[in-house]
Amino acid sequence: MPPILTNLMDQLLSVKKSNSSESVSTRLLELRSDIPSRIYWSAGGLFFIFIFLLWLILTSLEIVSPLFLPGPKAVWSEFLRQLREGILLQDASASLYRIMLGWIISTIIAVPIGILMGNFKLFEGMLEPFIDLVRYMPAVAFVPLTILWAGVGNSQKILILFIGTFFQEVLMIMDNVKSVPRELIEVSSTFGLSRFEILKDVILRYAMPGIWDTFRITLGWAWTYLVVAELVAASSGLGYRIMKAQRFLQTESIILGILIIGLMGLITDMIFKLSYRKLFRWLDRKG
Amino acid sequence: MNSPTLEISQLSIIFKSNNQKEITAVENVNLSINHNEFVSIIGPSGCGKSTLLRAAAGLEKPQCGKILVEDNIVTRPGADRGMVFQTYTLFPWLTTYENILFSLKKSLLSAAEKETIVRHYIQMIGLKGFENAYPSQLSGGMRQRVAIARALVYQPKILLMDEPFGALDAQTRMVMQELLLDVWERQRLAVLFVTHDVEEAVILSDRIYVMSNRPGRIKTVIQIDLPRPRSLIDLESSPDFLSYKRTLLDLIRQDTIFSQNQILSEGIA
Repeated sequence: MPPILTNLMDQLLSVKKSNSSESVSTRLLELRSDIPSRIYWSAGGLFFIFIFLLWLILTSLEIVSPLFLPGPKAVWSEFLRQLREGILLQDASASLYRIMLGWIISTIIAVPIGILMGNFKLFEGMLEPFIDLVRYMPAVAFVPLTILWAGVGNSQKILILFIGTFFQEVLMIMDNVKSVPRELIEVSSTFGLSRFEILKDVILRYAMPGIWDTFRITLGWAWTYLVVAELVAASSGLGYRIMKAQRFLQTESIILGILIIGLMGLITDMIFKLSYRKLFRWLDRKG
Repeated sequence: MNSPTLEISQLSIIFKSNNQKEITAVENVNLSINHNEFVSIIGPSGCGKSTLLRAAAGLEKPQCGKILVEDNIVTRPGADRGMVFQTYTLFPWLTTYENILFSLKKSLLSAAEKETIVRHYIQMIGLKGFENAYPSQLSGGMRQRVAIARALVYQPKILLMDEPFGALDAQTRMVMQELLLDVWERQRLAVLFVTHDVEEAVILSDRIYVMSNRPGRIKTVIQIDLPRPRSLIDLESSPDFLSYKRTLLDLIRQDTIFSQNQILSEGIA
């Protein structure tokens, strides 16, 4: 057994020893109860190691053909090659640029419209049926149309990312705004505040953490639309690299691309999660 | 200024339920509160007492009747009336100090004057040392203290309270009643207080309006002639207090039994 694993096992066992009256499984599997954070994080780490080992075993014993699933070593050397040739950095920055632009444009439009829909029944009644209809249309089906509309350049990719993100985002922002308790609005009106002041100083302030979380979730979705956006007429980008690798059966390049997209998505997610804690310190602080 | 602080005349409020059935929540209510008078409305739950209070705050539109605050017709919420809700309505992103300051947004006082007055109220509600605490760090009773200070700080003509201690435990509730009496002794103003707790109404009020069941009408008004300042301990052993309490309990009980039967028969039908 690798030393890391035995070390983790020791840690788990030492917890068991410290509380001998109950077995460790009874304590860890208590409904909804907290467990020591050390065990919580170890479990996550161990699962990654488990998946990695599974991958290693399946490929190194050639249980699965390297054509279908290349081993970690092949993916690693593909990573080094792309890094050396500068392809990886170029692809990643091209994709990041498209994603950020598509998501930012979507957000700039979704926030005011979502706020209007969440506060005024008129706008909700007017826009919700239409948005509900469009949001079930698959973004990939828009690819031919977007090429007609926006050509084959960057704007077409950004348009696909926008279509994939916007219609969901707007409804989520609307729900965030609606989460403000009625009494909070009523009490503000007893201070003599105008509707606009209540909207600005109460509703938006209260809804902000929810909106921030919507940003995090929708940016995550934008990452999942990347391959669709770079499906056609692209010459760079992580999605493009995956589609190209498919043509030449370079599975190690596909897996590398998927891993990089996942990792970059995770990083943007973490940025929002960490800033959430910094920005909204007033949430659930027990004295 | 001989006109009452709050005057409600021939007020009726009708709600439309989902199936278009009309429900009369408040019917032909007349009520008036004089300067510095502490008035309570009691009644069984669902009798429309909260609706009546909300109408006075300008949060419900009456179908007929009139609400006047010092001769001005009430059409919408305004800073001449302060309101305290049963649910916690502090702004969670603001500290105690900032929450109280927030309600002075429309005030013309200078920043320095505002600070003095906010500090004064924090002292009055006994939350010195908690100025920088967020609502999530405060207990339920403390949050309601801040809510009271926040409603008083802009010097409204009347304070409207909708079961403000309803969500608190019995001990905290007693402490809050004493605090409210103490604050009211220091800053006399008219108060309209809604509760379903008979004892609470007697402890606090000069006058109590008893409402009957739906449609909510005023059944009786009872003057409470207990000496002020009042202390909860002294009241417990006062025969007058007990007889007021008994009279009111009898009045409410008839209605509560009636309403329970009504609900039962509606359920069967």
